[in-house]
Amino acid sequence: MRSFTLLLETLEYASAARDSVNALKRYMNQVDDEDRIHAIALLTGRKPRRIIPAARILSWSMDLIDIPDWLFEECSQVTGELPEVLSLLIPRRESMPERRLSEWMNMIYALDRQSEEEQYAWFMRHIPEADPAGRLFMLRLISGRASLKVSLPVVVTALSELSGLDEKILAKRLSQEWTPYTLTYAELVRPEERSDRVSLPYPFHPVIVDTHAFQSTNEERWLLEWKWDGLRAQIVYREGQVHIWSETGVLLSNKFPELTSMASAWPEGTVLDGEILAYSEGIPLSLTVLQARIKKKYVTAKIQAETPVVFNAFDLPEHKGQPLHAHTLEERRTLLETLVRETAQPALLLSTLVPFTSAKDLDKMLALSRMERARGVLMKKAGSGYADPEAHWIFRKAGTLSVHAVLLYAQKGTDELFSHYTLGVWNGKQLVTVAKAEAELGTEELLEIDDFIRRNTLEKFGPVRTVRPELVFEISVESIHESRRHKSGIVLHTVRIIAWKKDKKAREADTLVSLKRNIM
Amino acid sequence: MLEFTDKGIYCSRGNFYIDPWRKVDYAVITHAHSDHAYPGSRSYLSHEQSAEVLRLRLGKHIQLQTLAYDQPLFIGGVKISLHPAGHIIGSAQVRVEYKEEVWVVSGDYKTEEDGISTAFEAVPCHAFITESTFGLPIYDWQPQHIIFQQMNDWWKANKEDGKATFIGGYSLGKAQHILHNIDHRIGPVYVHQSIADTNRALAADGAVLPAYRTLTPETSRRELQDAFVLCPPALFNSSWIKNIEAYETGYCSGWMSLRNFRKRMNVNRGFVLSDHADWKGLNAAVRATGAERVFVTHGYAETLARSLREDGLDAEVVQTLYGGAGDDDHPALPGDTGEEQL
Ligand SMILES: [Zn+2]
Ligand SMILES: [Zn+2]
Repeated sequence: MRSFTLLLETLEYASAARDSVNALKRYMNQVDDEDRIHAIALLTGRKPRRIIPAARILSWSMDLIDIPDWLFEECSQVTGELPEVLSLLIPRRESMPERRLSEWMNMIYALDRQSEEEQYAWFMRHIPEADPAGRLFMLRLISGRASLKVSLPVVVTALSELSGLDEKILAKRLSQEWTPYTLTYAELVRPEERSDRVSLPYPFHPVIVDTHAFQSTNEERWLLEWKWDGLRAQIVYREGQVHIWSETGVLLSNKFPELTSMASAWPEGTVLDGEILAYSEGIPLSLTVLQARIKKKYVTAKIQAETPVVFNAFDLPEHKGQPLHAHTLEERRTLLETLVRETAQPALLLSTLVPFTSAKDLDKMLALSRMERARGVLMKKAGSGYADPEAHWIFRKAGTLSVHAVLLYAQKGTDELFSHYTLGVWNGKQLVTVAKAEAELGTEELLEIDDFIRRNTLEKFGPVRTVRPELVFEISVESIHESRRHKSGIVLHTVRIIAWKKDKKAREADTLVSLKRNIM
Repeated sequence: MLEFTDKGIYCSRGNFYIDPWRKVDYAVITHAHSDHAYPGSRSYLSHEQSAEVLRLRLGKHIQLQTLAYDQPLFIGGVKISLHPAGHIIGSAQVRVEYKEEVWVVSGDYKTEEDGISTAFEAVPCHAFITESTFGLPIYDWQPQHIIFQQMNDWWKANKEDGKATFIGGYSLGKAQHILHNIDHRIGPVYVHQSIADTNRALAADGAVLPAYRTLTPETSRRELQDAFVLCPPALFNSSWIKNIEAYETGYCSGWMSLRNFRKRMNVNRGFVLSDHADWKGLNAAVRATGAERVFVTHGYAETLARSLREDGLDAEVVQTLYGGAGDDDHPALPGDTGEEQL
């Protein structure tokens, strides 16, 4: 189990998906098939339901922890959640046997069928056997608090690299109903079958972000299209089955039952490329709204009504069982328009395509982006085939927002200068943190600010200094989104600290209200 | 015999201070961390293995007298001696004796042997002034060989993935502790310039450190690919490190046992490795002195004092300015007692 808790820690703090994949592969190579399938189950969100209520876990743990109540109270104040303080306080039993993950999981699944007395006996005997990380994992698991899920593409890529199977096939198999007791690892990675292929999407037509001024060439005809704040997906309808795939290879069919049933009415052998959008009364909502819906475990009728979705179709890689790679965008477009018109489904929209005549068309669309709630504009070559890597779509982002914010906390860079700033804006009479970034300023200015910070430090927390809130900075922000995880209620994407506004006073900085007006 | 004044712990009979945080005439220093060794005093007394490091930090020309462990010195009839504290190389507890009454100031200490600093020794006394940085029962260290096994495995895995391994640690103490215990057979070990400077000072006083290479601005990022690099944690925020193609970061501290602190450090791996005693260590050390009176400072002082009182000892809290920036087990956590913050 130590190797599994180490894997969890590595996954939690990995900075890149590649690191997570490597860590998972390393783990899989260390353990047997039984541990493997248990690990995959846990990492894809398949875990036992809550078995023992938190109150009972607390009172049982106190039978193991021999300290006065006041001292327990002080410990709880320093740690986070209950399982953490318990995992640190339950005394370690020396010469603990190292059990495999599957042994622990078998015991935990068995608990569900046991009487309270049996559960108590198990708890007293086995919880002290594990090390603190192992105890934390189990206490969270049995109290129903564990959230171990990693992103599915990480699991899929690791399994694909280990087994040699196509990622999409693994994604499809993983998305079906299974438990570690109904599916073995060998079955999960069994060789490809014909039925696996039926579900697969096409490689997505590539998109690149371009920030340079557009150089128009006369040979190519371009088409312009809004890029909404949605989730790009292919809907695949073949042999009576619908599969909805995200660009990252996640199978989303069961997250969107309304789109699944919609696609069942299409002609046999249809694959559409487009964006899933949260959509209300004719207005596209932000991706964060859609993601919140995707995160829900069960898609109830209530959720479908609260967050309605549409599919904004912009391409047709397969029509009536015929792959359309070789057809031009314009040809595919004509077929797509007919399909959308003939099916006449309210949740199936057709993207708006604008012919490009001069650079002005592009500028006009970019300028309108914010108002239209679009993230920018996609440029597509009219004569290109689908997924032609030479003819990538070009994504031009809408202009950035400029925000004035006050320096609240600072941290040193290597040159020993304070150059990492946390900035805030006004919420009534208080400053709330909204952004953190490294300042992109000249050395002269940095030195001056550094000096100010040293003379105006209010508090030190390790390497972080709380600074008297006086300095105002201009930051550029790509977009602003709602966020429940942040105290401010918003999150800023792609923040850059670009200028020190010496002439501005702290009270002239922006307010949370003004930032919220720009939420996508 | 000792008083707690606004300049530090004071012995009026001998007219000296122990770890004062103001300029004084005569300062006895437990160890060279900046929260214990304050600059500007007229003369200093320290353990002989702290001498060069103190000069490095407080200035070349300080007036400094040194003692070996257990070597007595009499000032105004008061007998002073230094005893191993096991915290860092050259760290000492200060024993003060006058007319058969013995007081001991612990400074910072740890009870587990780290292999590089002289192992902690309990010094029998009537009054014991103890630190309490990790004075809560949630701080329960695993033996260091387990932690170093984890660190070696981590380095090996990074090496397999073609990544450099960076570990953050304070230049005096944690750096040598790790340098001594990491498995040098895995690959080359580098230290940051600031650590190399400290190492040189320690070596001048007789510390024996394994061979290492020094990180310089000229060090090519390529040669770090399979290396283990000891550096100050500030390097993790630098643009220099961000130019390295592939690397992992780690941090060693007792605080790493807490998830909220672990998250805040923003590193790939946290190792629960401290140069301070854990709860069991603190309690064992206090009892081993046989002291009738215990003064608790520097950390979770209230908590440890109350717990000792409930066990029948005469324990009270004293305010000092130790803690704060100075060694990397010190940064204060939310929920800490106020005295850790400056
Ligand atoms: Zn120290
Ligand atoms: Zn200290």
